[in-house]
Parts: sequence; structure tokens; C-alpha cells
Amino acid sequence: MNDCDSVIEAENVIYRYPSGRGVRGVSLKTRAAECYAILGRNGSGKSTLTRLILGLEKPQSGVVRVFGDSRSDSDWRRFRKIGVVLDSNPHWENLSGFQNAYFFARSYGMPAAEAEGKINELFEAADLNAQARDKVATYSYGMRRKLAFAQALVHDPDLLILDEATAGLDAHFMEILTVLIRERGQRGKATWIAGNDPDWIANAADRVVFMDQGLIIEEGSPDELMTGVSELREVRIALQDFSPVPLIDIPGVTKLAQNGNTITALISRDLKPLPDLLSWLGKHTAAVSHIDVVGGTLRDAFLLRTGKTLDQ
Amino acid sequence: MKPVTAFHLELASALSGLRPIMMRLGLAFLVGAPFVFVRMPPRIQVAGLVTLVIFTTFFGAAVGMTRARAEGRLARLSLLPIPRWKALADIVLSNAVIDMLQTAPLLSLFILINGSDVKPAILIPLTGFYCATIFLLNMIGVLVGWVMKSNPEVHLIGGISVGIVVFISGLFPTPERIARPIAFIAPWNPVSELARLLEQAVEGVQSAGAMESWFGAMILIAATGLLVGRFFSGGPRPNGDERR
Repeated sequence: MNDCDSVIEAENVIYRYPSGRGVRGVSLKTRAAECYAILGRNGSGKSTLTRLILGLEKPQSGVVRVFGDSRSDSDWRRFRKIGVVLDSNPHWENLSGFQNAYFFARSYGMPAAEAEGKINELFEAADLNAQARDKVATYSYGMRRKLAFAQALVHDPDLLILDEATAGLDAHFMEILTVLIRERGQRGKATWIAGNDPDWIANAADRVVFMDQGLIIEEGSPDELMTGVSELREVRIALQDFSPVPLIDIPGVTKLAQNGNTITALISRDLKPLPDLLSWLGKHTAAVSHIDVVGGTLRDAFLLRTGKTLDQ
Repeated sequence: MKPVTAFHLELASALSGLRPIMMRLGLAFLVGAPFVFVRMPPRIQVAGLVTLVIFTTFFGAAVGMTRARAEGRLARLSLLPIPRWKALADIVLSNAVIDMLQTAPLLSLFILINGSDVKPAILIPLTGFYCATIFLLNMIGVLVGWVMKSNPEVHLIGGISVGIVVFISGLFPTPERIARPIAFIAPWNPVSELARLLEQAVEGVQSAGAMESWFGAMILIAATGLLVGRFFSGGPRPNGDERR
């Protein structure tokens, strides 16, 4: 692969907020036709990195290039090739969903008839057709999200940037989105995802980066990242009441983390360490409410690499 | 309406439905109506109407800008392939049209009812200074809304700013010792000139407006426009908001 294939490039990018959070020296390169995902907890720096890519913030150090150009404020033309869905999606609430989408389509330079046709097609896929002429103020959270997707996709952008974009979406639309991202990839179009939904990202992304405290911890395909956790099972133990538990080493337990009244552990596939884990919990804490055991997932891979759960 | 530009978008959004129209146009009319229909000295009528113009124009722009920024609509516009200057011009222009819809009928009625021997010789400069006032205050409002962080801040600074503009425009009697500086800057201030021409329309005096007033208005609009443009060209305001 040569540099012409690269869509987003970041070289040792630093951007720190006064509190010290932000991005602390990130380098990465995404390619055409690739769906590249950043997975991390809230506050890990993934949205800041996305804002740097979009030019909404300027790096304090390092360089960000999109389609080979470093970000420049005067370069508004770059957005002809980019579609964006952010974590908050402001709309013009007094106008209809169609009017909002139409403005976006025309701003991207689409002719009127083509814009209308494409909007109708996307609204159909998003199940928004019946409410297309209703004011956005009457839309539910999920419908607003779908409208944001329609706006971002209307011009079939070469790069789709999604920042925490899937919250509030129904499973059916998530499936449509996955298919759409794959189909876009086949046509050479790139997608950037910053999110914390490991199950969807595992389905949609070609490459995934784990990000924690402003740094890239690990990068690879979902299958590569899940190597090592396929022999493990994630056990989620819900406690009846919250009480802090001393996290000690228990034989057979690879990782142990507590998040509120949920204890998450990675244990061997045969579940042999489970009785020891439960008896140790019984000694230190309140009664167990219920236990879930799930297979090796990207969520577990993240826990294995960072020692932290993705749940906040 | 199918919005094609940010101007269409803002205008359609502000005037969609009966309630927004009633709130914007009806309320301004109710507040201004006493200065049009109730008999009182022309100076008081003019002061009341011009203060209303300052208030609606400046506050509308400042509060609108703060809200657009806080709700992320400005950032969203900046992610579209639209030059920043055009987005800004569209916002200011749509604000100006809405301000004119709010205040122009009142001023027209005022001249129609109270004016004597009104001729184009005064109507043309009057319209010019009215437009200059609307554009200037809009841009100052946009600038204040851009700098302030929240609605409470913009209301506080907005209130003070409106007071200052009213004061330096000489709309109300001022203490003797500062009357001279105010009289000195008045010809350069389009708001003062608008008030003066309105009074003259009532008194039947024909005036084209002083040449320095035209220069003053143009210089102020150009300077404010450059300032606003400079702020906007720097991208979304680096407000230090901590995000994820």
C-alpha cells in the first residue's frame, strides 16, 4: 500500500485539556475502503481525536492529515467528501426532517431532484418516511440519530465519520448500518468510528484500536484482538448492593474489575475458577443478585488489554 | 420551503408556525405600539421606538448566536462545505430580515401617522440609516454572542451593551458635562442619525443626513464586519469545553 491510499493520518498528535485529559501522542493511519474504529471508555480521548480530524480543534503538537491535506481552517471544500455524525446532533428543530436533510444535501452541492430522491431512499431505509414532513422537535432521540445518518450519507461521502453515533439506535437500523458500511467499503469508501459499543464495532470494523487515557493501547482486526480471549469467558456478577471489593489474584481468573455493583471477571472457558470466585466474593461483599457468562468478545479483549471494563 | 442556504434555513426556522411568528412579530408590535399610537412628545416616541430596534436587533443576534453555539448548530454548519464567511453572512442577513419584519412596520406606521410632509428626500436616508443600524447591531450582537459562554452571560452583557448604545446615541437626556462628547460622536453613529431623521420626519424637516454620518455608518459596519469575520475564520471558538 502506498500513501495515496491513506485517508486519515495522525502523527504524534497531542491535544490536552486543562484537566490533563485529551490525546497524548497518537499516531495512526487509515486506508481507503477501510472501516477503522476507535474503542474506548468515555474520557479516553476518542472524541477529541475525532474533533482533531474534523478540524474542530487544532493539535497542540503533531499533524493530522485527511486525504493527504493537513487541516486548514480555510479549506472548507474538504467537507464535500466527508459525512459526519457526532455524539450530539443538532437539528433545526422548527423545520421538518426532510427540510433539514434537504439543506444538507444542497450544501453538499447535490442538484434538487437528486437530493430529493436520495433523501427519500435514506428515509425509507431509516423508517423515517412517515415522519419526513413532521417537525424535528417531535422526533424521538433515535429518530434524530437516524436523521443525522441520513444527512451524513446523502452525498455518499468518501469518508464517513461517526462519533458515538449509535446510541439510541434500534437493532434493525444498526444491522442496516453494518451492511451499508460494508457495502461502502466494497466501493472503496472509508469509515471512521469512535465509539464504545464493542459488539457492533466487532461486526462493522475492519481494524480496531483500543484507546485509554489518550493513548493507543493496541491495534488490529477484531479477530486479531480477540485472539487470547477466545479461550476465556466473561463472567458478570451483579451484587444486590454496592460495596467495594478488594481485587486480589484468584487462580484461574485472568482479569477482575469492579464497576458499581457489577464485578467483571475473565476466567477460563471451562469455568472451573467460578466457585472460588463466588466464595471469595461471599466473604467480602453482599449477596449476589445474578450471574451472566458470555463468550470471548471485543469487550473482553479490551478488559484484558487495559484492565478496565467498557461499561462506565 | 426547501432550504438551500443557511439564510433560508435560519429564516424558515425562525418563522415556521404561528407561535414563533406571534412571539417575534406580535410581541415587538405590542411593545412598540404605544410609541406609535399614543400622543406624546416626538422625542419620547422616537427614543422608545429606536430603543426597541436596538433591543430586538442586538438581543436577537446575541442570544441566537449563543444558543446556536451551545446547541452545536454552528459547529454542525462548520462541518459542511460552506465557506465560513458565507455561513456568517447568511446568519446576519437572516437576523436582519427578521429584525426588519419586527420593527419596520412600527416605524412605517409611526411616520404614516405622525409624520408631516414626508418626502423621499428624508425617506431614503432614513431607510439607509435604519438598515445600517440593523446590520451594525446585528454584527455586534453576533460578536457578543460568540464571545459569551452562556445565556445568562449574554443577557447580562447584552443588557449593559444595550444601555451603553442607548446612552451614547443620545436617545434620552444626558448630564450636561457629557452631552458635548455625545453630541460630538452622534454624527458618526447611525443609531443617533436614525433617531434624528425620525424626529425630523415628524417635524417636517427635510434632511439627507450628514455626510460624516454615512461615512461613520460605513466605517463602523466595515470594522465590525472585519472583526466578526476574523473571529469566525478562526474556526469554532476555542472555549476550552472539556469533551470526551
